[in-house]
Amino acid sequence: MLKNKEYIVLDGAMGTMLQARGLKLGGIPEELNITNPEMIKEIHRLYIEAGSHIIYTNTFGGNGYKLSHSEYSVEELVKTGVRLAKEVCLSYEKDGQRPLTALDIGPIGQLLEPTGSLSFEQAYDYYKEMIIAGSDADVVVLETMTDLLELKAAVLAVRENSHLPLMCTMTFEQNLRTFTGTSVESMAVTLESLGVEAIGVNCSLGPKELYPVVEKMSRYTTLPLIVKANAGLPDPVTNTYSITPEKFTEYMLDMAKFGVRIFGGCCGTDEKFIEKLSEGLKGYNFKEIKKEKIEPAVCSQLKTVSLTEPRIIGERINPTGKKKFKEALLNNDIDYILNQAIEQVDAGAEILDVNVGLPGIDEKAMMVRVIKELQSVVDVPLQIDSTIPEVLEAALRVYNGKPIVNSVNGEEKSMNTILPLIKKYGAYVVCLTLDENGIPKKAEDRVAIAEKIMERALSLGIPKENLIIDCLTLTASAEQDGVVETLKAVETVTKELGLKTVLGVSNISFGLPNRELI
Amino acid sequence: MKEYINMFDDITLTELNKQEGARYLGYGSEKPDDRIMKLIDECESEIIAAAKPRYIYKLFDIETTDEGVVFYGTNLILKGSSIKAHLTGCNRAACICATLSSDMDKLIRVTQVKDMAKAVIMDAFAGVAVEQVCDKIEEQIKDMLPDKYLTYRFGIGYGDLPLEQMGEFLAVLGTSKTIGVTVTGGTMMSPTKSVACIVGISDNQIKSKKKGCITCNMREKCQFRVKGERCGF
Repeated sequence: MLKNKEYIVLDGAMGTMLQARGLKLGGIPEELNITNPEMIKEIHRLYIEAGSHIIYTNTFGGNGYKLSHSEYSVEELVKTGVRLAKEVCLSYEKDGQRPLTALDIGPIGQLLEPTGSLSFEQAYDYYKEMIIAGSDADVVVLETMTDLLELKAAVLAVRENSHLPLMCTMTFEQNLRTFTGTSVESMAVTLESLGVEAIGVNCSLGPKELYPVVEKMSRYTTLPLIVKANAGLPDPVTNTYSITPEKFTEYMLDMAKFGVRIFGGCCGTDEKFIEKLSEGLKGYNFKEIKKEKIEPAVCSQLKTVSLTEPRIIGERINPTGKKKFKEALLNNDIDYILNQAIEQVDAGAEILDVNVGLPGIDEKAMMVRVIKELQSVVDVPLQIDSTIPEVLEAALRVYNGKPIVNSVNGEEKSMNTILPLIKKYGAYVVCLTLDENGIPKKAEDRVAIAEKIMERALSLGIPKENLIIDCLTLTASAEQDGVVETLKAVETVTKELGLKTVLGVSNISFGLPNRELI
Repeated sequence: MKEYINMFDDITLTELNKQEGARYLGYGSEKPDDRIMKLIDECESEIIAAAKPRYIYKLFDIETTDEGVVFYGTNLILKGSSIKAHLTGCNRAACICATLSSDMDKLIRVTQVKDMAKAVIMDAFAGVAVEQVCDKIEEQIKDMLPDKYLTYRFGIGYGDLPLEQMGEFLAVLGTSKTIGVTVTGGTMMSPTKSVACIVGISDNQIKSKKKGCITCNMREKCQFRVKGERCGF
């Protein structure tokens, strides 16, 4: 999208424009695509004439939940919305160039479990329906999102049902979080790993108030940033937005230095704002931004844990050798597992490993259930621990953030089934230095396996920053030499391959077995 | 006809009404014992730390018609005789939605895992907290309109005002976009510690009506009613 341009101008508000033209509060704006298409086309024209390169279709609330009381179907309203926008764009075609249509998709309007009753899978289906109906658009934009997991369902729905480029913006408050608590950094880390083309922020605040949000976001991603700000905050006495188009533009341009390249207006803005913005951008000198290296990090929705220093991973959530835990799994006693998690976090675990593999239970269903419950009760990022690809994939879909997968190893079968999941879902992965021949005795042979996994990962497009090598600690009591070999391997892997490492360090006397990320 | 909109997160709670909370828990004339009082104190400080009060209200000109109470500038018409009776004599009304946000729900969930008895107390006091937020909102509206008279707040679902109108009511306020409140299953709000209500505004003194059980949140679960008694409020 940004291929030939230094910057892109989006459009301004649709909702407040429609309200100014008589749409009543509580009405369904998407119905106007059928009952008053000329009004919609007029608004699109106003924005294109003001300078918009991309216009958003009038389909923001066009999902099956919000349209359940409408006499029109999702397909009718979304398809028509895209058609109207495209007709207008085509009418402005010149020298093979024209404005583009973005299929505008907003939140479903229900909270996800466990606070609400909408499941991840249902959310995915609502989004899939819209995406298929809107397939004629040039680009897809997911905007005004406040729940990172709901946004992830939408991103997967786009990726799995369309080939269109994808832009995502969330709505933040001045405390740098969304209503559900999603932090700016968690959003940036998670969306970049899911391969979205551009990310940013829209609505809720004016450009002046968004400055700290954008500044923070720029430190956690190298993707081009999007800002679609409101026309300031509504004046409580007059209910008008008091910021002028000139001031709006000034504050917007002030954020270009953070890597914002895609600019637009949200609630309260109209064509005058876009015109001023467009003028201002024409004259702006975009300097080359020197991006410092972005800190590697895992995250949950609420908490981002950077991997630039050793971190403690708690491993009590694992049935191996634990009679009580096995009983809890067989009896579906989720509270037992949640309690284990809370205790570990209270004791200082920064990341939690989750393993529920036990013969006699449905590991996939249990893993999905445990991940969903855990992430609604503890804040720390999770490490998804299983040898079965189906279990890993199910968990990766519903995990709210960027996780670690435990693990892949040097066996062909393992690399072939697990690495593609790492690529698709953008996770970190622990790589065990063993293969079909078992665990090599010598350090250089373990390093060779690490290298083999790294080459395979790179060939699939997985950045080497996402690999965490486990050089394997054998029982320290038995083999002194074994310990030396492990440490040699760790050193080589770190210095020569430039990869992160993890080790099991279970000779700590007090209860909690933990692994240090070095 | 112009709507009036106010939306902030400037309300903070500093303490909770313990008497009210005890009433929700079913304590009438008896007082909770020391163990429960200790849990109540813990809950109070945890709720104050975790809850993030947010609210939005809009003022509308209203008119009572055969169809129901019409809110000008919107598609909203509230049904039933209770709301009509409540807004008698009023030419405007404030539609309000307040919430303690999803952090409160999370605290209740975590407490349910750790200590179920405490969770019951937590749940009751969270209810007290959100009502206190509403008290402060009403004060704000009163300050804004010094020469008007206000009714007490009437919740969606009180009397014969159908709970099913919750979705439309929240849509008029735009709560999902502004304060993160949505409707679940047609009638319940998420996050759960949220209140949706109407305050009538009149130029004339409102005839004082006793509130009664009909307007109380606890009327379905009330231990007093079960025993055939009343709590006296």
